[in-house]
Amino acid sequence: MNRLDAYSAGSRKNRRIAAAIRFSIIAVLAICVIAVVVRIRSMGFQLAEEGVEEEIQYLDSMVDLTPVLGSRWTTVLNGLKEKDMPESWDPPETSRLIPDIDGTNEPEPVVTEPVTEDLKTSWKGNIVTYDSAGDVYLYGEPMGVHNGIVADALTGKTGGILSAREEVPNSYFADALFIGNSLAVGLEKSGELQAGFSANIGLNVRTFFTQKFISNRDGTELLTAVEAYARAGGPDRVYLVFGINELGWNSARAFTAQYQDVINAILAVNPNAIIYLQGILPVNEEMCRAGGQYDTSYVNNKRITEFNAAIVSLAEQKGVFYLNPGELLADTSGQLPAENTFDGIHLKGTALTVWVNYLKSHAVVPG
Amino acid sequence: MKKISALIPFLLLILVLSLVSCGSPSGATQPGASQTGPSSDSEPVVLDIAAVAARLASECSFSEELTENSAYLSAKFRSLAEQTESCVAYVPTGITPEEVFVFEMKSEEDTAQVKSVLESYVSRQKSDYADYAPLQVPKLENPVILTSGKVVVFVVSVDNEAAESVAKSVLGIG
Repeated sequence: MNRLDAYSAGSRKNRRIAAAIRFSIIAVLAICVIAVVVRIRSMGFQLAEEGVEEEIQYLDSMVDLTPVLGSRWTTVLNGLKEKDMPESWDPPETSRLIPDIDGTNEPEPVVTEPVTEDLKTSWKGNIVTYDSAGDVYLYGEPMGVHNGIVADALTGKTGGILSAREEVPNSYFADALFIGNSLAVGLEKSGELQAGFSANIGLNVRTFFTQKFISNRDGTELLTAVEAYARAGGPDRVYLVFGINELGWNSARAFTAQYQDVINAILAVNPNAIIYLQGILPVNEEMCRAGGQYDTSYVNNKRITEFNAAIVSLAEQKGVFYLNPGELLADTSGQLPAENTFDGIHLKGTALTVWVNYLKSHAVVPG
Repeated sequence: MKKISALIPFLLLILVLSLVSCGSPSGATQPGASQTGPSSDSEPVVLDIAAVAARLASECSFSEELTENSAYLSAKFRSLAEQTESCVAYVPTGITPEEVFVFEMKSEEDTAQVKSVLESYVSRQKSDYADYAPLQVPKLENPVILTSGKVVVFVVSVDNEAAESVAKSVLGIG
């Protein structure tokens, strides 16, 4: 081999080596880029998941009346997590909605749909947004109702007096919550209804916000009725039993003004709750007077009628429902029969059964 | 290797038998019968708490008829759920604070916690009834809280002194 051939052979070898080195460098760089992209994407999902966990933790510790659904978001932007609870939220115009249908908090097939105001208010449950290049996650189930107004499928009514209809099964009350006074305590103790109860003697529409009587799960804390409602995740069916302890207030208007705050607080936690306002039950005035425990100057059926009329108006105004089991409990003179009560106010067994049967035949099934 | 393979079924049988024997309750059970006195055996006698609660509800004095509703008790004292084997309650539907609760705990050590929870409960009841129905408060002054082994009994009645005697008789304690 001459020197020229040797030089050519050496150059070709060097070029091959150089090419191999260049190829290797390019390959390593490509792998690095792919790894970084994959990592960023996984971080995004991870942050979205962490956002869900944080949101869940926040809801678990929430005790105030801050609206939960529709206006609280954990927003992930460009990998930075930002807790924000704006009054309104303007999503990108072309957001992609990825519903968590199966509740696994895992990303699911992308659905191309703009996030509208309607969609925001109709989603229930923990809400997390992950916003990176226009991706938006909303977790929860669509409720199909809007603005907190629930229409009765039978009559189309969105509040006020409910007429009798086919009885619902006992299971209807499995996710219902009764909040109220000693009458509700009596219902709870009777075992006639398997439902949740946040009831206490003496509870009224004011102490709904202040009286701590409900133990949390581990017994370390006592909660008010409103706190317990929020901690329970805002059950969908709420029966409010108030009024007998407020008959001594200045007026029915003073009572319903405070009662309105109770309704607002419940709707703030769950805008789609079906709320029933129960009319004040009739009393036996003679027994109340004889027992010496109740002042019949205001604990009487005439005042109860006046207060119940105010409750009906409130129900119609707020788009919630009014129940009047008293119409089945009162005798022809409007009194609670003596055989149905211990003391003129609190019910005995058979009367409680009548009450429960009334509830079963006056239940809203949303339309 | 064949010998080892032949031994495997026997080893599995021994394992299964040992697991089954661990699940067997120890001590004698006397369903439907209340204890009338301390047992002379070293083995503790297991009380039938349903029978205990029923006797208390029928033999103590109450101003209203009490209804059996153990689900109410479970819901009321969720913080005790993990330590509680079972519980029975007799409660009124009227305004009186009179009640009968009987808890069977998973261990004797858990009874102290139950007593503490019940004392807090009584304190809250007194506060609530003081505002709402003060005539009922005297019934809460000396509620019956007694333990026997793993069983805790709680009674608020019209006559708590008499109720205590009944409870001691039912539990077989002096």
